[in-house]
Amino acid sequence: MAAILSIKDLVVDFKTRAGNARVLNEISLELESGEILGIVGESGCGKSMTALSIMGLVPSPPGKITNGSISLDGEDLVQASTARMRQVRGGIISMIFQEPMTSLNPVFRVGDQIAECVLLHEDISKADAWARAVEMLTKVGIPEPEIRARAYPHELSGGMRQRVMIAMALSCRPRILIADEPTTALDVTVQAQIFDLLNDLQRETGTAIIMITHDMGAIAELADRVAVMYAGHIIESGKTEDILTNPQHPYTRGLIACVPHLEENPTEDRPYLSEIKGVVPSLTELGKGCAFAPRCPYKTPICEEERPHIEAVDKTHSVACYNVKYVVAV
Amino acid sequence: MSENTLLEVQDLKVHFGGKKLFRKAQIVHAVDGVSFSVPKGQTLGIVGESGSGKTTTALAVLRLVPITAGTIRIGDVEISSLEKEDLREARRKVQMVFQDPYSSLDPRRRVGDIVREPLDLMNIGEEEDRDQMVHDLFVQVGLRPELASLFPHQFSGGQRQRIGLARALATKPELIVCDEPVSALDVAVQAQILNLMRKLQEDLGLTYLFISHDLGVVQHLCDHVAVMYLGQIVEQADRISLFSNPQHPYTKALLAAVPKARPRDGTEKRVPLTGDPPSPINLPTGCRFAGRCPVAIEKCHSIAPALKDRGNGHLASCHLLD
Amino acid sequence: MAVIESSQDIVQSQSPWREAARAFRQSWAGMLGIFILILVILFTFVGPFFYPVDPFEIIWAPLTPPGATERAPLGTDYLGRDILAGLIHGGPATLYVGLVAGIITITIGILVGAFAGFYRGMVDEFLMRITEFFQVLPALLFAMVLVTLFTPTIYVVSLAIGIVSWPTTARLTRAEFLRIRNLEYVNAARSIGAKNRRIIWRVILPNALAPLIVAATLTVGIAILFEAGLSFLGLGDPNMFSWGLMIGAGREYILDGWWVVTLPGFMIFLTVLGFSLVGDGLNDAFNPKLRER
Ligand SMILES: Nc1ncnc2c1ncn2[C@@H]1O[C@H](COP(=O)(O)OP(=O)(O)OP(=O)(O)O)[C@@H](O)[C@H]1O
Ligand SMILES: Nc1ncnc2c1ncn2[C@@H]1O[C@H](COP(=O)(O)OP(=O)(O)OP(=O)(O)O)[C@@H](O)[C@H]1O
Ligand code: SF4
Ligand code: SF4
Ligand SMILES: [Mg+2]
Ligand SMILES: [Mg+2]
Repeated sequence: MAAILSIKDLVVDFKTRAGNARVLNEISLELESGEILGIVGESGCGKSMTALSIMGLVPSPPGKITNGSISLDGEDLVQASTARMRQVRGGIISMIFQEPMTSLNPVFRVGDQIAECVLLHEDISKADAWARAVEMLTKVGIPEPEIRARAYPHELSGGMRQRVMIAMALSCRPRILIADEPTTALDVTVQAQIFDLLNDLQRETGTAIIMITHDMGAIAELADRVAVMYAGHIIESGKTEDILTNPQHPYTRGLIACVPHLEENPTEDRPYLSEIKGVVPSLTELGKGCAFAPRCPYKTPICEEERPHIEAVDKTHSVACYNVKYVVAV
Repeated sequence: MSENTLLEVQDLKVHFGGKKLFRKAQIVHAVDGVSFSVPKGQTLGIVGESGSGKTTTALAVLRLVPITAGTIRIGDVEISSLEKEDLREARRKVQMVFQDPYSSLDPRRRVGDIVREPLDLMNIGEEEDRDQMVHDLFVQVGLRPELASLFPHQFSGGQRQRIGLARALATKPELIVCDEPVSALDVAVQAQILNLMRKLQEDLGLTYLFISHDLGVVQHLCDHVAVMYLGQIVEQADRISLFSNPQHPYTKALLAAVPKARPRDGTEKRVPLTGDPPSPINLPTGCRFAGRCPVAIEKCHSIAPALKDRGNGHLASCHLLD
Repeated sequence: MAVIESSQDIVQSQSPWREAARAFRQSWAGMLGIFILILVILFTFVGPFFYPVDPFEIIWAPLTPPGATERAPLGTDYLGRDILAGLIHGGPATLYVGLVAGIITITIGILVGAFAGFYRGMVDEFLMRITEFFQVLPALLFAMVLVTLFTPTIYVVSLAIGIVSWPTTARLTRAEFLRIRNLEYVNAARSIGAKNRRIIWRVILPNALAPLIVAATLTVGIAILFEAGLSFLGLGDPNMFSWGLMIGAGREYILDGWWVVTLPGFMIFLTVLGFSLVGDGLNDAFNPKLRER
């Protein structure tokens, strides 16, 4: 399969009071058409910023894309004009956010908001746009879509609002959907509904999805491939199965091991959780070495000297760590 | 009440609203007849969806919301009938750790003062020893004592939660009520805090009432688990029994909805619940779960099932189990 | 946000107030406001030493324009009194009314708002009905009634202005209290045994203070304008020289001598501008969104 979106060596800098913060540091990613790519990592590691860069929405100032390219079918979005980006956003790439309440306009009916989005990108009549809105609401599983289309956002529950957001994002049949923590604000039972919905829609329409989350469980549920981020770097990427069962970067291993997983048949034996000691470093104070070095149990002298590059360990699996062989052997 | 029970809640009801001058009275049945007890030195987990009344239950145990009905007993003190000074005195035995590490610390006070405040207010220890006590509390929760002169905004979420724990521990309470103490934290930080809480429990013999919507966390930390739905407990059992042998349809659905952090194999069939929880204002008659229950029978819509022992103290309320 | 990232670095402690002060110093509007206010204060308080002329004394021909004579560099009013002396001596009274009325407004406003927002229920209903009563009263009319009932001394004028303008502050305070009383640190304070009094004054109020301080600076400006209004209607204190009084007394001669009302008007404008700029600066300083980076 061919990559429809390919990010190369993307660097995003933010000017802050404490100095320059390199929020994204030589990120490279490929999204193949029709796949679901997961991006995981802790708060502040740059997941949302990756999404905003793709959408051309990096807040500037204080932020700036200082290097790299984002190519959509060969067209570099970093260089694209504002007018072109407006076409791309919503038309080719669309995005849904964590908090569905704040991303819908409270004073308009949800149907109008979806129709408006369609009218912006397609040359069709108002009536057709409204019909499309209702059709989309049906598709995302909202009961009585004709009635619900006339509702205002506050009249819907959190799960419903997120469905509306998805309907709006998919209304112009985009080729890429970016979902930034779409279920963090929702209950587990509703979260499961949204996952199933995304899965079904993806299979039906073939839209490629970038799924941003801090929840390994959500990744396991949905993603075909995963990229793990730490302090502005991608430190490991590969097939979901490989990452979950055979993580190779010390951070990924720590991240997977520290989550208390729900067991179907728990026993009396309850060991303490394994911990990643220390805290995430401040982006303004990253040294020249591996960003994970201050917390890494496998660190060797070279780790603090030079930043490891992400390299392939096999055809589909890449890791940024000098000591992979040693880490895996332990 | 058995010998080693520390907290006993009986038929607790907390209703909000009512008595409006011009509007129709809308009563929110946030907690509607909840009973449970927690043995000394153990942890009871309360799980449930948003709005099921978990926080309200926690606040009621500390008497931070008005109680509509029911009794709450901590040790041999019936805290639900205390007033003013006695209540203040009794609160020494039970403390709370809050969900939001950002809004649970007063932003205008130094963290050292925040931890010291309960000592001053409750008159604990000698005045001149209190600085040392604050120092020890900081060490206990894994913070460097030199940080005491800083302000909350200078700490990360995990560190703030440690400060919250230090404040809660200051009065040497027996019971700590934790309302989603790790929900706002990243997984790596969450593991640190959960381990710290376990260690404190072992060292100090603490009893926890632990509220969470994360079933993985609850399974890891709690000895007993109660599942709440719309202000009521629908199932309650010890940890192993509840997770390996869930009885109530809601508990089953909840467990099935949790994403498992292992690769999909495509064989698992999940029947997700449809719809959202109904509102606690207009409660359905009959079983409160009937509207979403995949196995509801006719009787469910008219008659409310009772919470009954289904063997070995495993409580559940469902007609299908009768 | 200065989060302590690694346990190696000892960070100096930064109180939120001190951070706000730093942000204020970086605020263009705030510093300009302070500068203007200092000028006004120097002018009225140090001025008399350099220009010892009695503002009530008739020194030259009436309605002499500015620059016409050395005896009255800014001209004279309709009685032949020195305008410059008037401007200098009129300052303290104006500032006094502004500050005292401002303080009264803030005190009543905070008390009423704090109790209403904290206790809610019946207390809230009761206090808010009173607040509404004061709010729907035409403020100027009510102040006029108060001033005419008593002798119009500067104290009565300040008090009258304070009494008619507290409702806004009360509403603001109440809103802040309603918001903050639901934050978890208030529950935390309660669960460690803090009494209501302590929670109101030591926990909630310090956190509600930022918008109130901003409002207070604006209130001072409004009070100064109010005093000018009363004086203009002839209801000021006739024995105290104030800029409002100068405008009030000179209003009939505005066509014969523009300077009689324009010059004191300009002083009021400067002072009010100074206070609102300071208010702006404080707003910037206390708004964490603007302060963040
Ligand atoms: N306006 C800004 N100015 C300076 N730094 C910023 C700004 N916005 C974001 N950042 C920094 O950029 C980094 C990456 O932020 P981003 O929002 O991408 O994180 P994230 O991985 O999405 O985290 P979360 O899980 O909390 O959403 C963070 O360290 C953040 O502090
Ligand atoms: N002070 C209040 N006045 C009126 N209704 C309230 C009040 N506090 C809570 N409620 C309502 O009571 C119900 C239970 O709320 P509660 O906060 O206990 O739920 P929860 O289980 O903690 O949910 P979450 O997981 O979202 O924290 C909700 O419907 C809520 O809207
Ligand atoms: S490069 Fe070195 S410090 Fe970085 S993760 Fe690998 S072993 Fe650890
Ligand atoms: S009583 Fe009926 S509706 Fe309620 S849980 Fe049991 S089967 Fe479902
Ligand atoms: Mg984000
Ligand atoms: Mg809650």
